[in-house]
Amino acid sequence: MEKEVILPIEKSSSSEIIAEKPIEAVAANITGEPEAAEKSAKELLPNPNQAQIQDEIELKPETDPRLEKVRATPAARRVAREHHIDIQTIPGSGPNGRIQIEDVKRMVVFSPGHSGYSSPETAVIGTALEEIIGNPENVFSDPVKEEIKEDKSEKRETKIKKPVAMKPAARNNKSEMIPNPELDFVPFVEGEVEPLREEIIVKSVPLSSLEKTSFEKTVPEKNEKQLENKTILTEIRKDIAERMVRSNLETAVITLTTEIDMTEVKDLRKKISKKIESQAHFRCTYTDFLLMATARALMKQPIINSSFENDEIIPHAYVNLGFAVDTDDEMIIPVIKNAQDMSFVEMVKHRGETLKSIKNKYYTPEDLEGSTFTITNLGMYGILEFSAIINQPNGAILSVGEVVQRVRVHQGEAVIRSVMKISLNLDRRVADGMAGAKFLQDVKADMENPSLLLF
Amino acid sequence: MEINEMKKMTYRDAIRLGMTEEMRRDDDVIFLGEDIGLYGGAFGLSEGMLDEFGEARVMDTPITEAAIVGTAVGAAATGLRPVCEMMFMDFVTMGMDALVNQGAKMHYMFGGQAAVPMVLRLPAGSGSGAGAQHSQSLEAWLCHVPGLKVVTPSTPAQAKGLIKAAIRDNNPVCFIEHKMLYKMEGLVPVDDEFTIEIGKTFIERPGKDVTIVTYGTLLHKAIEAAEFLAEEGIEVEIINPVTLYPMDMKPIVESVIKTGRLIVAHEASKTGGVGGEIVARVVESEAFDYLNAPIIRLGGLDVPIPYNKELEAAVVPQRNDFVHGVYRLLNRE
Repeated sequence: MEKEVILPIEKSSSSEIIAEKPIEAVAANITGEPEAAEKSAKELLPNPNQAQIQDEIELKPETDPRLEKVRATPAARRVAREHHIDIQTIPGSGPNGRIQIEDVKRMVVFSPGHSGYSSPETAVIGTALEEIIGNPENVFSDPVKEEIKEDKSEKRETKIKKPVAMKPAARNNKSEMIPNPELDFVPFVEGEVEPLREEIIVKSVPLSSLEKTSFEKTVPEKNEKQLENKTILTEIRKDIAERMVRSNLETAVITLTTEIDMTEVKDLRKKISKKIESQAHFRCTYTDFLLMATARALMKQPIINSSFENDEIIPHAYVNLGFAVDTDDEMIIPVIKNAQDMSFVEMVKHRGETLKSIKNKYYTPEDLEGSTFTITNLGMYGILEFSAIINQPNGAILSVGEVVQRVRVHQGEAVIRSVMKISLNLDRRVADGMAGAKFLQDVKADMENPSLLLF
Repeated sequence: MEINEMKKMTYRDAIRLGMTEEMRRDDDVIFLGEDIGLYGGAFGLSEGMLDEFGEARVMDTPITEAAIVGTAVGAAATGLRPVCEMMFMDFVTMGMDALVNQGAKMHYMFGGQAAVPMVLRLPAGSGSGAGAQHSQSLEAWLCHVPGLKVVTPSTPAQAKGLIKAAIRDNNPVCFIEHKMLYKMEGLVPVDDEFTIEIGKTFIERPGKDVTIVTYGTLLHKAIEAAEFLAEEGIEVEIINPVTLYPMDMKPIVESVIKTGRLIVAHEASKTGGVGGEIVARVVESEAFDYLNAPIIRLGGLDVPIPYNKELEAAVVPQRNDFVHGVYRLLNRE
């Protein structure tokens, strides 16, 4: 208190003194001794403590806690974090310059196709697709540039672009039209269909891919083990690893592959898409057709739909379909229960709701239990065909490849058809190849006459 | 649950119908309160019930809320299913000890050997010019006591479904009904097995731009505001928690993840209100990272409700407060 009272008096007196010696200060500056001017000013203050306080007071506005801090909403910070954008570089459009999610999205250049994008924030993709039209500020980067995986600092630079207004002609119209393979189950979704949120995030992954998984994502603590270049497995990973190895050791697998003509499914889906969406509130995908066909074929060939436990084969009178889904943390296999009784709309609804609950992490262990058969799909990564490890105690697993356009002989003529390869990995202890072949035949028949699946 | 036949009736009639159906269904259900028998209730809610069920089951009590609640807790603990009515929610203060220290605790303190299946009907809210002692919304007090359930219907159908669920529930349930909704008309399922699950949040209107969570009369003001805003292309999602405790937060959290913007509104005083609890839970949840604007709480001013009708309307949120709140969240003002 005392000092505060004294201060104003000291201040006024010192300014008087400065006024008395202006010439000296100016002279010091001219003679090239900048310190001298400061010195003389400091000497004028009789008490060094007072000078300190004076300094502090002068500094005070700069130590305002608001300074140098960014005003940004939690949503904006999250998206910036996910895309490695320095939030300080983003101009904010909200009140008091607050950075909002829209401001960050403007900085994110997202090209369809290749990307390490793993965020549940769908708005980014959605923005690119929907706002790009008529918004010249929204720039798609050159997809080729994005594919080059160099060190991150450089990549960051290519990603962050100031929103410079561009002429519409300068936009990469072509890349806008390229559908995003992550948007749907199969790569060639028509551009005009807007993706559903859950389909963007959740991708299915085959069990077999886990074999090759390097566990780089699990960040090891810095300890001796890391020096030995070993990676610590999380409990979940350990569990998966053990199950995979056991399954591989215990089962006697045969692989049957067939090719399905998807042209009919493609056409039918286009026709019924809107109607199904209005009834099921989810958009129907090729997955739904395949799930339907599989469920029906399993009812015809119950031996494929059986469990092998304790040297017993248990065929099931119901179909609980597991389908592998890749989430941010792990790969999980949610189960659609009693799929045999479902109509197509119900199937779309169930699959949609299941994916939604996985995405939102609102699922219980029960939702992942009790599968009798599993489907896994790598088509969206351009895999033509592959063979997955059986999800025990299931007797078989269906691996689904990419839908591609190929020249095929159709009604005696060479025409371009959309085809897809599916492989059944069957535990030979459960059933023989004949049963597996009949199963695939049934699936193929249903998929090539897909309108029957609607009834 | 099949909801085939619907009948248009008022909120008040829907509550009476729900109670009547439950009293016909279960002889253990009794109804007690001040002036509910001969007079037919202060708001005419229980008209005709005395004639149907007789004095043994529809009991006019002395003017002492402590006795009403105390009797109900005792009756519930010994096997009946009492429904008791406070003439105004404000008078629950008189019955607080029996409710909070006895009714809410018995099941826990007796190691699960006792249950208190009672319903406390509490006409709440302002708007009727009834003055400071007859207009309060005290739901936050009740939500603060573990062992009580707190529900508040906002439409006639919800009123019927919830009063039936509350009577069938084995816990003390505080059923808060808004006085200004008594004359509101709406379609109500005729099915006498129609109930609304306690602990389930309703999405009253879907939208994608801003989430509004509210209940009671404010729900209808929010819907008016949403209709107004819809003309400007702003889609407001309106969520009605219905059960204030234990509240089902999932739809609210999901909605905030979708919209990134939240308004929570209630008539009760803002300080210490249920809205603060909802906001805190949203911020604690996954939805935090999806918030794209500060959360707005619309609540009553921290003052006694004035007698003058103009002043009374000024201290609680109105339709335009919702509209301006939405504008603020969207940086339009």
